[in-house]
Amino acid sequence: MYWVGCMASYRVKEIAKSTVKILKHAQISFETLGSNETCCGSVLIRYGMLEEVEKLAKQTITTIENKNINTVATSCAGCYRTFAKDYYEYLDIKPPFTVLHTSQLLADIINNGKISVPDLAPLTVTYHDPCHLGRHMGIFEEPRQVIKAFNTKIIEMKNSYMNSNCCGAGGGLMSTYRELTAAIAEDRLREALETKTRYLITTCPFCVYNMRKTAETLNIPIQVMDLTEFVIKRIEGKL
Amino acid sequence: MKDWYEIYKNTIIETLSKEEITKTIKKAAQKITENKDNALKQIKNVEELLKRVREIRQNAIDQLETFIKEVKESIEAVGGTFYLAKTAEEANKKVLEICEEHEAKLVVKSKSMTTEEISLNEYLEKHNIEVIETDLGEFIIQQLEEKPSHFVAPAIHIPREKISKLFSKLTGEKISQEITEITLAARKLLREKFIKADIGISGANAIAADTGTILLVTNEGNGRFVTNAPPVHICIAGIEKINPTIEDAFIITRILPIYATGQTMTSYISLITGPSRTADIEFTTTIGVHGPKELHLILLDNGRTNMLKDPDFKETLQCIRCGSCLNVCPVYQRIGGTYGYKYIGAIGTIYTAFTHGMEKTAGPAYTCTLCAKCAQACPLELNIPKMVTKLRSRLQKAGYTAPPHQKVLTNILNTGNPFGEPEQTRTTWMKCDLQ
Ligand code: SF4
Repeated sequence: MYWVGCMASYRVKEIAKSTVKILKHAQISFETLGSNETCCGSVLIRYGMLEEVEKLAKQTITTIENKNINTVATSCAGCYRTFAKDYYEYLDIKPPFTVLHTSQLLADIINNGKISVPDLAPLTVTYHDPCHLGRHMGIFEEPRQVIKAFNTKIIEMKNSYMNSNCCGAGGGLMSTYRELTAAIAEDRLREALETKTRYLITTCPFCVYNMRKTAETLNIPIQVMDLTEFVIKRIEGKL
Repeated sequence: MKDWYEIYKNTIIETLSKEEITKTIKKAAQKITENKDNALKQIKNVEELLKRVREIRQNAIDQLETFIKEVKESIEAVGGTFYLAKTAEEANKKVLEICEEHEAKLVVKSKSMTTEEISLNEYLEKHNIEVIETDLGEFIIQQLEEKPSHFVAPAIHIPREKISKLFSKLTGEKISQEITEITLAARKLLREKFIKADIGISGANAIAADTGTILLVTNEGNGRFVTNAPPVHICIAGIEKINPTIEDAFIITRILPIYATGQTMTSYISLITGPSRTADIEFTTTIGVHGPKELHLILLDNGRTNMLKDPDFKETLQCIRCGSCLNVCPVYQRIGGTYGYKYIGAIGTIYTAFTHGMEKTAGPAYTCTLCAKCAQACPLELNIPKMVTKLRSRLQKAGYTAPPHQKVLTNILNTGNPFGEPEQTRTTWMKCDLQ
């Protein structure tokens, strides 16, 4: 099942669209919960509203369980961490299904030859490890493998992997102290600029939304994209 | 109570607008981290050392109540006095009492966050006692009437132009922006204060339970003057500064400079066990020769026992206040000392919750992005983001919910998404050209 997440459903729809296009391209059968999908509660956990999340968590798990799903893939680093770690860490609830982030799924698809990579002109990008995916969950290599599979070279930022810097959107800051979120995004974008690449790939809709908006506002010449957007653009020859 | 959010938010926006300050902080913080990484490479058995540090701190906190008793016995055995202050008020009163007993007019201090916590300077000044900070950074902050912005480098946010102006004013001479010229001016200004002071007040970086030894780490050497020149020395420290043995305490001071300033060792580590003494005349012990005749140790609780009893936050007491977590923090690098009340940064929000209450910590506690760079930089591997999340949970229960968070919750409950968008539009994206 593809778990879309609220950010990709409402705010960064390109991520949802790109993910579905890739899955179809790779001829993987999947379903979504459609309009029955509800917030997983990730943001509420960050706010400390742990009691309120418990109901949401149980409800979400039951909905997925009732569909007899055993693998859930999501393009959201926040939802991923919530399913794979937080429900257990904060609520003592273990979801009865396997959770994958799209970067893991994509790495797998590519390794199994389910996507034929066309002949592509070389490209140079940089990659931002989202906190929720990298430092918190240890997923560093899969997104990089996917990028490299499309004849693309990654120039690492000064702070990457475990040392990656936050984009500023985490911890509920985007709603409470928006100005600070933007300031931190600017710091991260400046680090990305130092790599002298034109594209910044990442794997979290919060990071994409925040850094993209900040880059636009401040006229920082770097294009921020989700990994799924990057892949589909490469497949379709638009990048 | 309802204004805490708006007030704090405005402080953040104001700080963000002072670009030269945030740039100075960021540069310094990054430099310390770089130095720390280099220093770590130079230490041979660093993993072993860190493992030992974690064991020591855990052991110290696990049996803290026993060790407090042991410290009392040890320090009294060497002729010092011991006092356990339950509250900030009690600690301040005790200091004042000692000052009054000695008719003290001038007090010199070496850097202590604990005295900052209890606002000791303000308290003594209210009682007409002059207090002079002697750590250069603290001295600058004090003279400029600013707030410290870092655990170990309190004046990190002040550019040198401003400092040279300050010293020119204080000395009545033209002091250039050359740092050596500034330090020379400070040396001249403070030297007479050390000699004239009636009382010296210091903090402690570690205390050994078995010997009652106070360990003080400095680079400038001011700690030595403060604890040695005046006839009376008062040391004020939180109860968590205790370590089981003198060897343990030394290991803490061994690791501290690496994480605090990126030095493999500081210039000075003072070990003070009781007041100055001699037995040179007929081998009869007499207290007070060149150093202080009196040593008073005031251990401060001020909410720490509550922390100790709280399984969600007990870990916090293991913190050695190195500030390494601050230096890597993206929020700290942008807003410096604004990120906290008395205690700065994510770990600081936990301290503040217990020492100053929920109202003071609410704003800063919601400022953490939970990115976890701090946990990675911490020599004790404290799970700071998890504690911040738990602290937020307590804040929510106490009624400190940030209005935007409340709105998101209402939206989720009503529409299933944080934005309050209609449920049926969740799938709008599917209707677009998906071949
Ligand atoms: S939390 Fe860890 S890194 Fe931060 S000051 Fe304490 S010991 Fe140092």
